[in-house]
Amino acid sequence: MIKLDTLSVTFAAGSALRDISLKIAPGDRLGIVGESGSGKSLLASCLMGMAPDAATLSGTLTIDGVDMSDADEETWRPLRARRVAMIFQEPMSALNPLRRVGDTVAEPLRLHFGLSRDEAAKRVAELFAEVDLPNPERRARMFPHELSGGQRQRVLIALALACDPALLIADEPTTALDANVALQVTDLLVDLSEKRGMALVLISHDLASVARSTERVAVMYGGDIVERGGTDDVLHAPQHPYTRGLLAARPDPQAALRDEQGKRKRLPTIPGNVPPLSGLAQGCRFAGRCALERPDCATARPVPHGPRMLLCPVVEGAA
Amino acid sequence: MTLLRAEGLTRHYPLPRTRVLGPRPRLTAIENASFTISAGETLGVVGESGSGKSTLARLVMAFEKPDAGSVAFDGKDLHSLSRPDLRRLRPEFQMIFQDPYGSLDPRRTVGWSLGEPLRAMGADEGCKIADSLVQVGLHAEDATKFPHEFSGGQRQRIAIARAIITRPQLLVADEAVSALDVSVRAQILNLLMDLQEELGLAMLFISHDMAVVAALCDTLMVLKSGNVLEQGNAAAILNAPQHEYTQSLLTAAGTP
Repeated sequence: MIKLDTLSVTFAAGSALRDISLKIAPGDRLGIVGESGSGKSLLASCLMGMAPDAATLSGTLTIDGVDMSDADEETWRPLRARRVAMIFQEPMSALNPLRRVGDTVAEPLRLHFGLSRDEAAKRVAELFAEVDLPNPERRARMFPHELSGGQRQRVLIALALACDPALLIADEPTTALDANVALQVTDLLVDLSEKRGMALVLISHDLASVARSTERVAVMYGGDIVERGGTDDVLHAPQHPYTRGLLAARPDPQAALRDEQGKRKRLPTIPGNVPPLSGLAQGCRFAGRCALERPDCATARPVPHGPRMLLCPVVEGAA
Repeated sequence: MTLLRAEGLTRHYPLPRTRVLGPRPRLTAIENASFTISAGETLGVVGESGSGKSTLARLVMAFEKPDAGSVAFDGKDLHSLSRPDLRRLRPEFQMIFQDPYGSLDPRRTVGWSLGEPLRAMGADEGCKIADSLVQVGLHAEDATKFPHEFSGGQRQRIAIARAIITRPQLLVADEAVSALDVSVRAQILNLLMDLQEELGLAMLFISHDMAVVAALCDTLMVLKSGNVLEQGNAAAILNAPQHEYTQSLLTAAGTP
């Protein structure tokens, strides 16, 4: 349905995405995991045809067999919302504080489907019920500030669903929410994707929510997809040194707190910081922080290999 | 040795009237919370937003007064001290916040911000700023830079450097690692453990993330809508949570 082939995005400061290839079929649930600066949000904007103007792009993006690489705004507009919709991290800033949330959700319905005011209001109530908002008609008349964070995010999900998109991209949808509410929202997204046969791309730095809700996962670092595969496989048996480091850095609530000398156990860390765009190595992006680094890693561009498309020449990719 | 003893801490906030002449309803932010923290020990406070975690921190820091209950720091009742006495005691307990960018003045150098607590207590800056930066894993030269020149993790290190520059006995951390990426978060947690061992710090560590609390805390207090659901030894609670709510927080923090 959506096919991304060797997409590269370059800014004046350096290259932000390198040769990203992805395929998303109807009903797929794909997680994209990475930390700040890994390029995951930029990748999402590219899928929506909203790459920043300052970027130079190469590669091809095909949606439903149509090449969208050079498509203009006119070609994109009907596709956005109806084929590909997106929700963002901060639900408060994505909603107009001066409009009733029902009117906000009704807008695309009236615009794209030409529904009358009453028809749209009826559809909004149905959508609100679908995203488990209690008392939908009453909620529709409320303003964003009258809703809780979780409810606002549900409104935005309803807005994204309004035009029956084939793919929903959720960019850090639960980061601003409480842990319990975050779980409910992630579960709702999975539920909707299953019921509607809608593909879901979940972008997150939260490994737990990706593990819970996706079938496949791609791990990003410094603009590369360093490893990909079945979510359970990758998260339980990570192969790329970065994925390993990332998983090890998560504290385990059940682990022993102290060692034999009674000293508190330190968490395993990845040394150093994510370098700025201009400071990324030409070869492997992870060079300089990697425990398995060889002398040529920083200069030789790694070639993806094995079933996981592993981007590391040092690790032998197993299934 | 008990450094901090809180007893029966209660704080209500008045809500807007629902009827013109009716009484103002009250929101119970925290109800009857009691706990102690000893030197070198960490108390974790977990709960969702609105559970009263931050109110608790504000009461312990003596930013506001409780409606009932008391906070004794090193044997002195913080809320009955005179303002000058409280001011003199402030270097002993310091706080770090969730958003380090919001707590550092963007137009001042890092060195200036670090020196502020020293100037406030009338102490000599000397080489304390450089020492403090090195202690949190930064460089002495970083004192001349501005906050925007650092990454989120480095900024949180600066906030920690500022908190420890007065050599406090107690550090209150309110969601101090929540805004950080997983790998950076691990670095900051390790730094807090290092500093605790080095300086014998007592810590009040507030978080919504059970996994983070588990890595750091000796004792634990679970809050929900201002009520203490359970408290006690951290390992005991994590291994056998008594409350459904605690269990749900653990599930939410679940390992992937």
